Amino acid sequence: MTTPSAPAPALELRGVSCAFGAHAVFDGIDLTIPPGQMVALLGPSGAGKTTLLRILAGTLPPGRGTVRVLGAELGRLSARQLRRLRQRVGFLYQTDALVPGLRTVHNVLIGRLGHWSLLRSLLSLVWPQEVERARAALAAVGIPEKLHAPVAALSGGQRQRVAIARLLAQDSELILADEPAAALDPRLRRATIELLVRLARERGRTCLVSLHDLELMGAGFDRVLALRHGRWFFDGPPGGLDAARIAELFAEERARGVEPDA
Amino acid sequence: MPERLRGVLPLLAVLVLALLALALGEYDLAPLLDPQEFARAIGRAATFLSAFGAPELGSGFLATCVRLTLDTFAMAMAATGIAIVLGLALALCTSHNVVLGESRGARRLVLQALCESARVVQDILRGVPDFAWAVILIASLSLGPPAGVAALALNVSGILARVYSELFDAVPARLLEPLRASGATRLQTFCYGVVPACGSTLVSFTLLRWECAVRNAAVIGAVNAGGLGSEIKRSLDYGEYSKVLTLLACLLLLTVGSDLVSAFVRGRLAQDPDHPLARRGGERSPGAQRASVFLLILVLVALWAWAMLHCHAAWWGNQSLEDRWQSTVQLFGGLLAPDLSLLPRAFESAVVPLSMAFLGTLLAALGAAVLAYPASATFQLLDAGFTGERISGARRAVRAVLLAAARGVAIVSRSVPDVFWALLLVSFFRLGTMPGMVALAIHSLGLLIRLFAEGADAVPLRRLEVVHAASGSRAKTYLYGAIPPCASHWVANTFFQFESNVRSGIVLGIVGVQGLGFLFTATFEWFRMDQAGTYLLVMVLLSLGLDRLSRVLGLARARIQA
Repeated sequence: MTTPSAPAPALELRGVSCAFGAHAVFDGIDLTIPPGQMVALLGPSGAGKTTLLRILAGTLPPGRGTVRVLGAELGRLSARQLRRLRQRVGFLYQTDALVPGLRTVHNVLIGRLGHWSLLRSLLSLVWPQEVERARAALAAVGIPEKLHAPVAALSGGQRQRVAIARLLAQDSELILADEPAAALDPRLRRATIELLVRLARERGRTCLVSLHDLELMGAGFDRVLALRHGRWFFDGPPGGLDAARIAELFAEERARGVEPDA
Repeated sequence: MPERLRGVLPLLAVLVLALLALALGEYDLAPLLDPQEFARAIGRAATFLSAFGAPELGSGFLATCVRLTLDTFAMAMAATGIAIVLGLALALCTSHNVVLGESRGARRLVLQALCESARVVQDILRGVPDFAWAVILIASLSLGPPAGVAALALNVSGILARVYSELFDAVPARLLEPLRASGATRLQTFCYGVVPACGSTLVSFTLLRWECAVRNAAVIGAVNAGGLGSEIKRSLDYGEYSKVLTLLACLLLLTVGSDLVSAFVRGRLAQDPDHPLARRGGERSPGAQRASVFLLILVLVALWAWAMLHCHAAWWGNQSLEDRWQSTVQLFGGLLAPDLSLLPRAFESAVVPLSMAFLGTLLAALGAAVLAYPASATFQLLDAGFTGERISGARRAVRAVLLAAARGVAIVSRSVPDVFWALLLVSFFRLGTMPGMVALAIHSLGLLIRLFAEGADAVPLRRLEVVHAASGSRAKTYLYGAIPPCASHWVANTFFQFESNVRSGIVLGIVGVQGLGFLFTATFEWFRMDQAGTYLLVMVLLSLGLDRLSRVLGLARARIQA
């Protein structure tokens, strides 16, 4: 798929299988994501979206196949190399991303910990380091005035913005996000995803975002991937997934009485 | 940039206070700063320690040891039992949630006045250390275990009453509103609203106090209240060091044993079912659960009854009840008419225990914040749960050793009572405030390591995963993921320990260090009851002041998760 002159893909899966006990989640899937691409990952619940993201993050080893993240093959890395790699990858979680009891500035600066020594990390708790970077990141997500606010004083949407600001501070080359807007008020979801995609695109990052909300496909993604029964059901531009295919993708979930958010 | 100062100002305040405490506490720093003095101090300590030799293991003496250990255990059990009943009763009187309820107008004012006056009783019971109670009660009642039991029970009930009432008041009103709205009475609201919300925390606190009562029962004998303490003091005075060793071994056996029992029970009370440390296995049927709770209560009551009878046997001495009553009335009459002209001097003498407690607690808290990391199971053995890394067997073994070492240090330093640490350290530092302060630091270190590590182990792994993903280091994850959510809890626990150390600082005075406790005992022994009464008054005012200060600073230790 990749021509020799093209840059190395940001993410690459070859024949990856994964099973929990007798239940196979994936059975030999392939995937290539070139650098700088904004990718949405769709699928009914239980299709394996979270499992896929955890495999890419290196927290879950695949049963078979090879996983390459930013050019490094995960299975061959030592614990130290894996940790180094993870500092180049940013994660965005559905909830619980922020540490309660830490002010916003420190929560953003958690993104810098991988770049700091232990001593500097300790010092920063008393005398915040690289505050300008934290301020700039918060300005980029639109809440510069919250720099010194306690986490408890932030709304749900603001919290997710702080989590995005942390990714910016971390300067990660690849962003993996697991339903980052699912815990938010429906009105805030689109704005949050659009913000994430826009900021990642401006900075030339690669982004893989799992979604449960179909409408969010239109939030600026280049490509949509859909998982069903542990295989690729769709891989193409957002416009390519028409109503009939969507109905088919979610047919079983609908039969169980669960509507996808739309 | 004033916002940036926010992290620095509290540290500066603590530093200034520490320097002040260091300046006012009259510490003899020579053994630490001067190499020559240091060598001499080591020599002194070595001579002292080598005098102990081999422990005395004669069968006759061992039998005595067993009897004394049982005496001590019985004292602690009996005292804790009385204190739970008394403390609960007092807590019910002082809790706003229970007493005030929804009453309004004049009735509310009357009830509030009742609450406040009961709170003063609580402060008096808590503020006078068990050693001071023992000194008073031994003079008025009798020698031996009954006075020890009464002394311990009075002090512990004051402490329990305060913690209980804090817990009752920490139950948020929104949990009680539905009950009140459906017409529940005060008692019903208490039983169905307050108790379920704070029950397990309440049991956990009680167990910690019980442990503490066992330790104090073992040392309170030093003022002739019977048990191991009396015998240790006597053997030390007569220079029978081999006996001291055997007695100390018994004491450690008792305190470590009760520590382990309480840790086991409190572990079973742990709540978060998702946590890897939580209990596994199927749910038991409600019937079986009720039966086991019933059985447990039965066993505890039986133990208590045995303990009461055991201590009771020594009660009927050679004095008639009437004589005792007479001497008690006389004594308290004297104590309750304090010589107020002495007040300034008495306050001045409070500087020593305050200074020792402040520095000792500060050192302990700093040490515990560092040592809670190796002592935390989450960070040493269960880290795969948030790092996703698998480590080799050898590294795992190293970490297990580290964990065991940190916990070992903690259990030894808290199981030896602070009074004994002080006695040991006197040989190094010579008599003065320095050994007292270091003794408080060592003993508190053990207590705080456990509390801090328990806090760190209760942080959800998911939260640590987020920080670890960005930082790539366990130590940084501890700094940013584990400490901040625990910080307020740690600070509250540290302040609680400080309050308790102020009392211990007074006790160290009673056994000879200096300051308030020393002056109280000295004047009491000379039957200057008016002066002794003044020192007692200052003890009570001190604890009252610290209690109100902790309320103002929002450091209530009790917290209810709802």
